[in-house]
Amino acid sequence: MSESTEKKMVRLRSSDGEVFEVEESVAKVAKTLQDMLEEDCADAVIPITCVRAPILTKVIDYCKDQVMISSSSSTTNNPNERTEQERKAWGQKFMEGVDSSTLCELLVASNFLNIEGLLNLGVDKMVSMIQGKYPQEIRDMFNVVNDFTPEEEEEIRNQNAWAFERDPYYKKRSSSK
Amino acid sequence: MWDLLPFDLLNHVFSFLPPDSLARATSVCRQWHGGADAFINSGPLPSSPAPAALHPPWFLAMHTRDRATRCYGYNPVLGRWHTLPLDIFPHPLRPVASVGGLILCRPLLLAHSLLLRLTLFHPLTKRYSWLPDPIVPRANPAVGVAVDRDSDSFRVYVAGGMSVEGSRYEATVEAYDSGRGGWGLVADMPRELAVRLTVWAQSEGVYAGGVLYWVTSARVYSVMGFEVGTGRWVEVKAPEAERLASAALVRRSGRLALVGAVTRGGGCSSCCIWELGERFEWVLVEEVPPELGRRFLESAAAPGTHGRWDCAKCAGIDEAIYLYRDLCSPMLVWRREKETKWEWIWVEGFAKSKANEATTTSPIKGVLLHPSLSPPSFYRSPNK
Repeated sequence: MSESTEKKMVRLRSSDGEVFEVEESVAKVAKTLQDMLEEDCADAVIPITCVRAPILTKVIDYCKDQVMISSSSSTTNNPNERTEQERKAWGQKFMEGVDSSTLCELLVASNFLNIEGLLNLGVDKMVSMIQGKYPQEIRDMFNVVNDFTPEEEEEIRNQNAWAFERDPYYKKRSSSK
Repeated sequence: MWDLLPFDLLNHVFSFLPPDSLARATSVCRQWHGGADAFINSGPLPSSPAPAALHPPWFLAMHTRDRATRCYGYNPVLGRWHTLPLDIFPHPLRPVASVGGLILCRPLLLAHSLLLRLTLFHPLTKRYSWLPDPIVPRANPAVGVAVDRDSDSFRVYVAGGMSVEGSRYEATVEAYDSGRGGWGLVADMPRELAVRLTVWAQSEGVYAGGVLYWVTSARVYSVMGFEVGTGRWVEVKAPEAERLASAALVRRSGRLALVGAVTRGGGCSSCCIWELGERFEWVLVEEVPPELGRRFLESAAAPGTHGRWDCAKCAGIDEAIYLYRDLCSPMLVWRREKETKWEWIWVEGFAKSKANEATTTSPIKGVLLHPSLSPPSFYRSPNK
């Protein structure tokens, strides 16, 4: 093809109907999209049925950055290349301020679109949010409802009682004395 | 919202949690319980990284003299001590070495006999399994474990020891192979070595580079090594042997290291760490920083241990070395922070972190392990 300098664009539609136009290289960071594009079902708008616009925006930001750092990585002095430490710092910054519901949507999106790097960032974030917290703190943070009966909850806690020592949030809910 | 998260994704997240957080995640709600429980009981997914790559090892302290109903685990990530129930053994347990999340222990069967028996103990679930008895019954042999990191298998070596009637030294080495599930005689050994290991081996063996090493303390400290591939023995004189007041072996980043208290002139002493080089020469790699060392020595809780390096004990596994004394006293930890960078960390003892806990200065032995909530494989396989 002659128009090698002209970048091929791809259109994505979020679950809430917003259409995003991105370079093909950006879309291809997502393995799921890469597969679709290579099978040449790319002309129309690709519906991303389980991802809302604000989340898709964030996902596209991530993909753009990946393209940016990989585009010139073959040259020796790539100004965009990052050390392990910089990569970590960048990832932390990217996930900074992401609340738990956004995080959940990001995890679902990166899982569906098959973007390993973003999935790992999401998993790391979730792990760091859970670590060291008591169950009630986790429920509050992630808006999860405790659907155990008091007896069930007590039994589960007793299986690893050592991990629940000094839990300030837990009062035996059991009604029986 | 969170019910949108696919089950295997939640499972994936759980594979990165240390055991304390994983245990708590099981009690958040039914969905999380299902995810965490499946992860715990099926063991790690093939895709999930090995626990050793994820988390630094925990320090586990066990009472060695008195029968105890608890042991104590220190999680270095959160800087927290946990009290783990240990009410299943009627006798004190002495840890030999960790094998993944398990600890090989030699119980002190005082009421029965001094003959060696070994048990594999999983401290987070209190499950355990006795190893079959060695072919040759022996009292007080030297014991060491060689773990094959690529598979889950390990071999336990016992060398020397007294015969049943106590009249004779057993001049043989035998090994238990976890894959085969049985013992086999591996090699004969010179009687003189059998005597030395039986009488003078100070603690359990440390495996590094295909050799199991024991430190012996007849007159001066010396290191005996058993090459498991060839059955040959090597002896390496300890570094600064004449001035060592104590010596312990650990494996550091795959190499044998000796941690020792060195007596210097004028009543001074310091704590040094040497590594054994390719040609069996000792290389001094670290000395406890003097200021930190002084603080450590002055913080000793038990009477008579104040100011003495030779009262400090040592436990290590590749990425960390712990200097400890008892549950009340602080510990000094030298651990790998990045690829090659090691740092000293001050860790408060167990008892100090709990004001209302009865403090104890009874003897303990520490071991480092990579804890896991997953039941050990001897409990997962159908024929036990």
